[in-house]
Amino acid sequence: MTAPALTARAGTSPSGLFKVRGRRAAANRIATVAMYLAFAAAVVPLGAVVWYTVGRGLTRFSYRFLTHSMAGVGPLDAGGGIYHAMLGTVEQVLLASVISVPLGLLVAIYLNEYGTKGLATVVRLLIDVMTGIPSIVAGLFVLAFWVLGLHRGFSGFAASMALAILMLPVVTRASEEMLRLVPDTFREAAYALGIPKWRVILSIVVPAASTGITTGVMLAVARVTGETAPLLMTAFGNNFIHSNPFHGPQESLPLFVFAQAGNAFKVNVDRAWAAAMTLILIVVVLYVAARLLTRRDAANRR
Amino acid sequence: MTNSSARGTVLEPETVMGSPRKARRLEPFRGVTLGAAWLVLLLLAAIAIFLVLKAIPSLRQDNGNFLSTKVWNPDASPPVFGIAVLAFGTILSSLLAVVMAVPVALGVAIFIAEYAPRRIATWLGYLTDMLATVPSVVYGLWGLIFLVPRMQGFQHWLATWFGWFPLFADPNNRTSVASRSIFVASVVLAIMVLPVVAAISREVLRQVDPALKEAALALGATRWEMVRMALLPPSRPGIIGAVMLGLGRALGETIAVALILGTSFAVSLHILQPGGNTIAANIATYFGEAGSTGRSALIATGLVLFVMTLAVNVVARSVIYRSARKQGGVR
Amino acid sequence: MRTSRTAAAAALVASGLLAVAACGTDNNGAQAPSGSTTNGVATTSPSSAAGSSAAATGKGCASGSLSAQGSTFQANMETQWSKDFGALCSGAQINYQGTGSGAGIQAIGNGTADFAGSDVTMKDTERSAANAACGSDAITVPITAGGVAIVYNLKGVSDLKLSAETLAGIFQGKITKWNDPAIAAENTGATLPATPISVFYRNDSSGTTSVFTSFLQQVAGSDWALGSGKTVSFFAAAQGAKGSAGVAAGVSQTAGGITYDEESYAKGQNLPVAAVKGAGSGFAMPTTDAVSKATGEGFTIVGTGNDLAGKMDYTKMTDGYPISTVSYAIVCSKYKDAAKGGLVKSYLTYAVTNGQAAADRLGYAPLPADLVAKVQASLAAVS
Repeated sequence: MTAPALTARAGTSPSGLFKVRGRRAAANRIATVAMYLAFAAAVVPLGAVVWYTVGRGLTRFSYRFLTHSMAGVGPLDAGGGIYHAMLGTVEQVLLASVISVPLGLLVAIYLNEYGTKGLATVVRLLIDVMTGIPSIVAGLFVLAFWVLGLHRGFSGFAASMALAILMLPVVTRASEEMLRLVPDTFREAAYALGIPKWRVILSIVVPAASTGITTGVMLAVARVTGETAPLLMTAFGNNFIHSNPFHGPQESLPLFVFAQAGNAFKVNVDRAWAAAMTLILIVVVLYVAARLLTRRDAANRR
Repeated sequence: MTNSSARGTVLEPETVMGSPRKARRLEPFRGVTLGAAWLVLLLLAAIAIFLVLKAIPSLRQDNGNFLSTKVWNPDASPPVFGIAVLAFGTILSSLLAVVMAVPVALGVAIFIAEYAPRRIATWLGYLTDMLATVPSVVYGLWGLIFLVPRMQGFQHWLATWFGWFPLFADPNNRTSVASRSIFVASVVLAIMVLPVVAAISREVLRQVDPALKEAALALGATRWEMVRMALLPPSRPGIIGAVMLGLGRALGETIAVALILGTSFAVSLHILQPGGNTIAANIATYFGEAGSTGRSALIATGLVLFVMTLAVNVVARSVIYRSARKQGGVR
Repeated sequence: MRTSRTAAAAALVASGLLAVAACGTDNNGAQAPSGSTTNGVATTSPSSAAGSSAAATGKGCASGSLSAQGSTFQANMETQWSKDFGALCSGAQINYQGTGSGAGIQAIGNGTADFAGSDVTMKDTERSAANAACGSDAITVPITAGGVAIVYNLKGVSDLKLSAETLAGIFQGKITKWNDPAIAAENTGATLPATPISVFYRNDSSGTTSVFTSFLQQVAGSDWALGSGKTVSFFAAAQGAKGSAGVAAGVSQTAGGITYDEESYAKGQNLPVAAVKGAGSGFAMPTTDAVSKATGEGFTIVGTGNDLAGKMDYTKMTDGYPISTVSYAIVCSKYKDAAKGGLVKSYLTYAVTNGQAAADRLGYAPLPADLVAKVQASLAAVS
């Protein structure tokens, strides 16, 4: 929002005021340069990360890479792929969403529509506290409680539990936010027609907030797809395609990248780049979809 | 904002139908949501209590002072372990990351808000948001393969010209050869935190009342003066909140540090030297081989980390809330 | 309007997921360049090795899946065996993750691993935990042998010689530069630069650390003061890295770096290894023959019955490579799930018989024939 005519005056100079204006103009110019520099300073490393990952990743990226697992790949072999990792990620994130999204939505509905002072405050407080849980602590919990404590062993489901712990506060808060944005007039109109409260919520309020909630959920899913630390101690890793998430170790995409990066031979690092590129692709697709939804919703509202 | 019923100002069926209690009984759905709220409450409380209970045995058995011991031997007999190195490394690397990232992130946010051509500014905004969702393992991989070899020269240059500054001291001339230092790990953390802080700051800047900006310009301010006087002050609480959130993310980061840092159990301010460790990276390294005391000790350190991120979040939340109240904003 | 579009979007996502679910395979057998040009390490196709043992095809096969973890020292062999055994016996899935000997022992004590890989034998507490988790006695059998190589990265130097005493000085931080007189004395004729030495050690619970420090303790005697074990407190300036791959990667990125690591990891990173003088009179490189010879000299069984846990006496390794060791698999003698027991028996029997042929190429050494016979006998009793 510039006013060219106004700022241009800074350069002109009735004599007595020239020095001040000169300094101000100089400061302005320095600041402009600094902003551009800051932008460049941000673009260079971030661009390098994306550019390098995509560039290195494309060398190993192929249909074969996407449809094969790491079964039967020797220690110095260049073959193999990430199918088992993608399957694991999809299953684990799906299970985590199935657990956390309905639960989070119901809690958000309670907090926003039904909440009583005592319980709602405590629940909100706990949700806020749990938003800050480090992902590795969530993993530690599932390790100590489920994997070892209940002797259930490593599994994709254990990973889903850790991811659900991470997703639940985010989904709940986003949903609550979106529900709160639905205008009261919607509700009042519905009540005026004699519709019971639960019907109002389910048929009118939630659908009205649905786009925002979906966006929030997708962003939570995008964040959780890239989580590695809790997966180390719950899903554990597997070279084979393992489609049963409830029993037995499973691979996952971020885990695969981490393990291959740690293995450090060139064949492993090449695979790590391609898998990292795939991971970025998935997250970007989710993000773009979430954005498109918001824009369409904003357009609809107009 | 909440009354006895969340939407108390609205005419609800309960009021219309007469007895509120009778109406409530007719709504199993409310019971479902109530049940969900109780379930979540109990689950989250149970998680917290479980973790605390699991952490206590190791603390009781620790032969050293948990806060000041540097070594990590929870499975030895007797167990001797402490959080000194881990907490120090966590805080140091996160602070460094934030110090490096925040000026750049702020610059980017202001750039997108004020200096960039309007047409590409929206796209730049989306780009920063998107970069904020890139998983940390990608940054870790890039840092390990791309950055670590290339930072040697820069670290050596820093040590040679700025070695008088205690942070950059290099008493054994190791920067000429070694680069798996806290500094490199912090740089990677900074790059990771940058889009997060930039995206949130941009949102905050966008919500400043345009009238304030126009007023400043109308009074003859240059663009930079307008930014300094009208844009930044009302945004300051929100930006502080964004910085705190970035700090929280850096504190909890595991993978990048685990891949990049050459660990050691030493407390040192020489950030250009390899060595040190963080809580999260330590957990990732040791969980597999830890016995029951070791696991308990790891959970204890995890809880300390949780408290750290919690403190940061609380401060961020209160700062944002106070600013929103002052401005009469939505939150 | 909105519902139909959401439905369309949901259908798209669902079909995408179904497509993902439908079209993957575990069959990596037909990969063309089986590591032929990676890192300049010439690798022959292993199918010839499997083909030559055609007599074993089909026989002694079991199906099912195993989840194992442990020593990164033997991890490369395990990956190779998993590949070859899987090619022989379709339906067998052996998932071995290299997590470190300590983690492997913990895992079998927790019941989260079907068998563990370890370079060291279990302590009494670890053994009772494993026995409890197995529901039967846990036995330790050697399955491969290898040399703990001294891997280094020094420009212009590729044939370093180091004695045990010098190694003790380096890994205790007493010798800090490569052109130190102690190193120069053992490497006359080599131009050693003044680069600082960057020591990398295993920061996880590692059998390799235990082997290396035991060697130093036994051979360098009073020169080595840090003791031995899976975790050792190295000096403050030494850098820790996780896993055999981690220390090798650290050295490859650091000029003047040095570490102790299984020889195959040095090969994989194209790094030179030092010739070591231990209890013997000369310097020896970790070749397959040298390692085999030394293992024969230094390994004695201390376990009873089917348990073949042994100890390595490095003072006896005078003719071969002085830091050689066997690496073990820790298995239950009777599994609660008989099918699992059958698969463990079948897989490990393959590993110690036909699987030994891959050792030379990968940088390990085959076990001596009489030891193989004993291991086979112990494994035969596993159920």
